[in-house]
Amino acid sequence: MDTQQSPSRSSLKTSLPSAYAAVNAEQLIGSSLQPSHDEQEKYLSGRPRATPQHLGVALQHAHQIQAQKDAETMILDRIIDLLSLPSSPSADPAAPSAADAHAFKSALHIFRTGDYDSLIMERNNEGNCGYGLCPREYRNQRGRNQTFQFKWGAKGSGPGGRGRSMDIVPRDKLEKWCSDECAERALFIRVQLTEQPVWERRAADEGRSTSIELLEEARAKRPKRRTQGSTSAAAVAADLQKMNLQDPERAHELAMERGDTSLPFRGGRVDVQIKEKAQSSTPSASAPQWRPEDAKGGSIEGYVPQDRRDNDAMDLDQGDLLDQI
Amino acid sequence: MTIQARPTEEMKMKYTALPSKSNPNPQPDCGTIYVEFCPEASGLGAKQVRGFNHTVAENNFHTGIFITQVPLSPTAVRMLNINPGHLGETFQEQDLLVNITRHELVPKHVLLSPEEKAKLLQRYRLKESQLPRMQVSDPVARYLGLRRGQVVKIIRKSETAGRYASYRWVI
Repeated sequence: MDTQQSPSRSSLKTSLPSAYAAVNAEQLIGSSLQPSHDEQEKYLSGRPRATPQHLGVALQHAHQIQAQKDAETMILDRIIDLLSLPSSPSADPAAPSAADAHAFKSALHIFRTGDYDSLIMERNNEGNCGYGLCPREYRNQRGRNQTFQFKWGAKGSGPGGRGRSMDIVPRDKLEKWCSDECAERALFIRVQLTEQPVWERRAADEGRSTSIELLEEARAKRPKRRTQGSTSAAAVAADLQKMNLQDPERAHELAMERGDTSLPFRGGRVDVQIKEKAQSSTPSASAPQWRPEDAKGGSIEGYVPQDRRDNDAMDLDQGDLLDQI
Repeated sequence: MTIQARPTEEMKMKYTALPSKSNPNPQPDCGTIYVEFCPEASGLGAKQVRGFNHTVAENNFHTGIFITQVPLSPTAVRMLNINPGHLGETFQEQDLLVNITRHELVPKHVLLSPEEKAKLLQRYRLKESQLPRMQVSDPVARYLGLRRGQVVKIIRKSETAGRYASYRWVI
């Protein structure tokens, strides 16, 4: 895992050491974050009923909040960094240089869609096209006083496959980009971003969200994808194997999912132990037996209806009388 | 256009925290205020704010106030607020055309010093969280540059009582 993440780590352009922690939850579990003995004393002296465990929980939450703040600062830094892309003014957005594309993609994996929108906004403020790898200026539509514009689709895109489709689009939405191609490229990236903030993501998600694709890359891949997608019985069996709860690796992942990443709760805040319930004797079922009170239908949850009760009483009285005689 | 303003002795007193065991000799938490009017009428973004933050940090101003003609982008506002060790405030020129505190419906707001705040809480046997509240983003709070945790005394005219004082805890 570490070897996979090392390239993305080195590409972080930030001077905040703690900002790394937001991206890599592993880094949170550092020895420096453990409270020293003096700190523990100081915390516990002011609070009469506190235990070191309280301190652990408090510190854990404090670190979470700090990581959140650092992540937001890092996203702001990234937005500023991405304003200066692409590196050369003659770059082609359809075929960006490898370094630019890598920088763009690695910076974007911590973004949410909202952050990406603000990146587009900032780029437009600079006068650039909203797509991060395009060096051109955003287009100025004719007719400055119109707020909406007609947008015609390709031939045959209309209803029933005839004519052209038509959209009415706000002008500022069209003016974010230099061309329709760039709009498509930029929005293709936007749909790949998740709504989940980076400090809530799990290690398992991390691999998924790093793999942001540019539109050109996805198009080159597309025919390949169709041949895949067959699920064999062996694959299903392997997936079922993964469902095992007792596996320590899985338990750690579960703890990560709950956000229990700090050292006091290494194995998770909840200690999960699955035990079979011990049964002392083998259960034996016997057939129901006839009891005297069942003759009249018995009671309904302890209640004996009036008519049955009267009959019973009469029976009893008669019995008693007979005895007396 | 840029302006600088230094705090008066009275203001310094109001912004000095009460001495405590760990901090027996507190320093006033205020300093030179730097005001910059941004000349740009469009395309105002994080870059300009970063430049402004840089100026504030370089000259070690305590507070920077950035006045713009057009609204700042959300990124830019966030950036202004995270300048470490310095405070950032932003206003639009349009909002400054009228002095809102002179409006007849706006009562007088007076900031309490930490001593006065402590006295108030002792007098009414309150915790500060038991006071009525007021947001930092409230227009008057922004006008006065209030910070989280401060308490203001609001003096209004009352038909029945002549003058009526109430208190707000800024959150």
